[in-house]
Amino acid sequence: MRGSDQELVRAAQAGDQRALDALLRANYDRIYAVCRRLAGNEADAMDATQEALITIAKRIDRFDGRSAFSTWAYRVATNACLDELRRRKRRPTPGLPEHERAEDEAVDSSTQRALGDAVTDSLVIDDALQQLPEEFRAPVVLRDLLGMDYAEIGATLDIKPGTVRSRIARGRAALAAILGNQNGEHERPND
Amino acid sequence: MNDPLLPPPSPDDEVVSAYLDGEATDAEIARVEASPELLARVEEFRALDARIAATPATATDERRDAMIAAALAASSTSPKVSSIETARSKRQPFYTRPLVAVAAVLLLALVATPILLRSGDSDVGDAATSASDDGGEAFDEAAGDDAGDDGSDDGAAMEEAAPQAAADAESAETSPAADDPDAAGAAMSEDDGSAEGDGSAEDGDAMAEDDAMSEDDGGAADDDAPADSTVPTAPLAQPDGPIDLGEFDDLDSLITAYDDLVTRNFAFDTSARLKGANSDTAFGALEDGFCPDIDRALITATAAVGDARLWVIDGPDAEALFFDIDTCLPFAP
Repeated sequence: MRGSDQELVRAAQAGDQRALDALLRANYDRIYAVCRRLAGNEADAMDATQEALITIAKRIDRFDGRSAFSTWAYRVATNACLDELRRRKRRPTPGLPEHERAEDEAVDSSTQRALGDAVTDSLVIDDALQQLPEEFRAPVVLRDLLGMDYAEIGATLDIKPGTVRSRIARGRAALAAILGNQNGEHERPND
Repeated sequence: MNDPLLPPPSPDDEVVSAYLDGEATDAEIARVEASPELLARVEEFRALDARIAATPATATDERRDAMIAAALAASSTSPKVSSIETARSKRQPFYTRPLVAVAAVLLLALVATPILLRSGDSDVGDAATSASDDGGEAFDEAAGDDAGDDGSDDGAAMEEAAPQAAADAESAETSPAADDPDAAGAAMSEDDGSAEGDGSAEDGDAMAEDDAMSEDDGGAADDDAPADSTVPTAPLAQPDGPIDLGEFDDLDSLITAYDDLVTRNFAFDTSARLKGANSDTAFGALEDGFCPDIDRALITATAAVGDARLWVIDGPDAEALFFDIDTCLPFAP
């Protein structure tokens, strides 16, 4: 743990709200990103992020400093997000027919063009991730967004590193297939 | 897992994936680097990872600040957070409250019926005593001590006692004590000593004794008084913006009032709150000088405790969070 983080954590654990504020702010973007990728939409991601931040704040006194604060925070946040999303039970059903998914998309194709490529791609990725079962989606997101190693992912999700390895591989292969198909379907004739 | 969307496990993909993540063994690394096909797959996965890792657009600063503020208020190290759950835990479920009203009506009927039937009868005291026996200790409590139990046949005495009983019953229905479900179930709190000061509730009267309300509730009589005077009793419509709860002597009273508001099906809808966020509020402080860390859309109510003016934020898990409008910090009583 970095020295500055250590000091902030100690101060936060002692009740210093400014220190806790600084810790939450420093990790907010990553936490939101994870929740967003896990949730697949803005509204659920916001609620899940709020739940994650509160969980971290409530449990800060339990952090023992054996890992980096960020690692601990992401672990807590990931599970808080997953718990929140499970409660909502609003995840799209994997394998939903294409036309039904199209109806669910918040952004239609004309709007997509108006948005930047990055935003559009983010929505495409979100859509593809949502087609993965959660047990495959979460390891991929934790690996690619947070750079966690297999052991950390296993600890976070309470699965063995070997299972993490297998699920990430299958998840990536599925995503590659989904995105490959979508790229073909979404190709604009004049482009 | 045999999900139709997922390709079957592929030893090659697993090795490629592990290679990409730096988790491959030496033998696996050698195998990948010796195969153009596997290296191509590595690049495919690498490009995919980059797209996933591209951070999605984050929320507005205002929204982020509000979320962090709510988390701070809920933190384990914050001694200044007041939780509606805490208040609720000290009280019984609201759905038992109708029983209180039913009990009060029954009590009233038990008291009034004999009196009405025998208004000209000189043996009113007996009637009252009989009613008391039938109706339970409540009647003894309310009327018996004054008239029935002393064996008085004095009709005048009874006529004094009966209104008192009715008044007590009415009081039980409308007073804070009635809100406490213990009243209905006669499940009396063990540490109910505080009821003794109440003239209407001395000995085993469930209705009154329950008033004792418990423990550290701070005395529900005090707690509920502002609530009953400021909060409508009927289910409320969705407001356009924060609702003014009024003034309170202490935070416990405010929590109780807010609890009542929530349990009356006052369903705050986030989108509606967003729409109404710019409406005028009790203190008119939403427009200018707004606390930067508090998202106005999350504010459900305003209130005053002593000299402090507060925002009430309907936090997750039914927690009510209270912020001092002047300092923008969690309220410290």
